[in-house]
Amino acid sequence: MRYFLLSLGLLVIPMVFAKDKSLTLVANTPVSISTPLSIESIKKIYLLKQLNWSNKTPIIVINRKSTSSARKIFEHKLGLSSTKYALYLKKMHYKGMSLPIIQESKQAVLAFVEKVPGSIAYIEGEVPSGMKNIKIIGSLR
Amino acid sequence: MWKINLIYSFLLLFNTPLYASDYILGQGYNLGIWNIAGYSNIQFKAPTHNQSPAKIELEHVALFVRGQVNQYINPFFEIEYATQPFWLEGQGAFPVAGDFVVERLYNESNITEQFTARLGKMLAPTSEWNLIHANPLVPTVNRPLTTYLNLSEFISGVELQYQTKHVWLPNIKVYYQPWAELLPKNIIIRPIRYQNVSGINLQYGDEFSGRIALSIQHADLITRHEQQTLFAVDGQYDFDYVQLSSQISYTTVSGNEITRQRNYEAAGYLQVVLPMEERWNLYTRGEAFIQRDASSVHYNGVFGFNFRQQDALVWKLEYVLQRGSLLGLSEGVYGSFGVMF
Repeated sequence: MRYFLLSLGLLVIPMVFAKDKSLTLVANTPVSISTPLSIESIKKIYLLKQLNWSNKTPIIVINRKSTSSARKIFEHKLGLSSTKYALYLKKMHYKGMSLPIIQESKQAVLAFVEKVPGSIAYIEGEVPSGMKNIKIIGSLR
Repeated sequence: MWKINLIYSFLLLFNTPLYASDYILGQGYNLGIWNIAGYSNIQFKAPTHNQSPAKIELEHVALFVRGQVNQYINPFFEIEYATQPFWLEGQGAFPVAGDFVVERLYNESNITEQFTARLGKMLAPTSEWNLIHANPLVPTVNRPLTTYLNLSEFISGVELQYQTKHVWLPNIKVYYQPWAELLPKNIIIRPIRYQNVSGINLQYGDEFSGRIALSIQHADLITRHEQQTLFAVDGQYDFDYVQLSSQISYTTVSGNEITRQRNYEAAGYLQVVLPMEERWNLYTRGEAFIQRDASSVHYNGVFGFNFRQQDALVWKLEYVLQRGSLLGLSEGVYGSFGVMF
C-alpha cells in the first residue's frame, strides 16, 4: 500500500507542479500596447474574438500542439478545458475563421515571433537575449 | 489606382507562404494564403421501423477552402460529396451514386474590426447547430429536426455581422436573399425551396460562459404557395458535469397550400451531454415537432455516447426512439465515424 501511494504521489506531484509553472507572453507587435496584457485580453485573442491590433493589422496567433505541456499549462491558466478549447477552435475554423498557427517547440515559437510582425505567443521560461523584435507583453503565473 | 489594387490582389491569390507549419489533423493545410480543410463522416443506419433498409454510407466528404487576400477579399468555398451508400440492405454495394453539393461560396470583407460583410452563399444563422452542423463538431449522429426542418438553412445574398465589444450588447447578424438559393441541394434531399429570405440573429455569450440567441427568419416558399416567419431561441450552458443545450421555435405560415393542416409549426428539443471522462460522453435528447402538414405531433428521443479518440476524430453510437408523425427520422440504431482534416 505504501509503495502504491508513493507511486501515485510520484505520478501526481509533477502534474500539479507542471500546472504551477509560469508562462511568458511574447509578441512582435506593430504598435505599442499597454502591458502586461490582462487575462481577459489574452483570452479574447486566443478565442479569436480580437483579430487585430489597435492599428488594424491582423494578430497572428501562435499555439502549441494540444498535447504539449506548455499548451496544457496555458489552457489551465486561462481556465479553459483542453478538449472544449480544441473543439471550440474547430467550430470557429468551420465558421470561416483562421486557426492559430501551431509551432512544435519553444525555439520554433521564438523564431516565428522574431520573424513575423503581428504575431503573439506564449513560452515556458525566459526569452533568450538577442531577439530584437520580441517584446514581453505579460506573464501567466 | 483601383486597377493596380485589383492586379495586386489577383497576384496575391498565388502568393507563396510567408510562414509555414506542419500539417496537423483537423487544422487544414496551409498553402500560401489558402487554408484547405474538410471533414468526412461514415454512418451506419439500422432503422427498426417503417420498413426502411439498413445501410452504411459516406454521409459527407466536404472540402472547405479559405483565402486571406486583404481586408476586403477573403473568399470561402465549401463543396461536399454527400449520401453515397457503400452498402444498402437488399441492394448490395454502391447501389446509387451520391450528390455533389456546393454548401458555401462567399467573400468576406472586414469593413471594420466590428463589422463584417459576406456576399454569396452561406449558412443562415438560424441556430448555432446550423452554423456548425459538421458531424465531428456536434455530439450526436442525428441532427435535431428543429435545427433544419422547414427553414432556409442557406442564404444566397448578403449578410452583415456586428461583433460586440460590450458584454451587455449582443453579436448581431442580419441577412437578405432577394432571389432563389444559389446551387440548391437535390430536391429529394431538400424538397422545399425559398426565396426573398431575410432574417436577424442576436447572440449573447459563448460556449464557455453560456450562450443564448434569438433568430427571426422570413421567407417565401417557391415549391409551395406559402410565406413563413420563424422565431427561434437556442442556447447552451455548460455546468462542467453536464452540458445542456436547447432550441425552441415557432413558425407562422400563410398562403393557400391545400395540404396544410394548421397555420403554424412549433418545435423544440432539450439535449443533455454528460462527460464521463475527458474523451467519453453520454448523451440524451428529447424533441417534439408539430409540422404544418402532419396530423399528429412527431416525438423522438435519442440515447447514445460518443468517443473523441483525438481532437479531430469522433465515434458515435445512438438509439433513436420515435413516435407520432414520421418526419424523416426513423426509430433505430445509428452509428458514425467522423474526422476533420
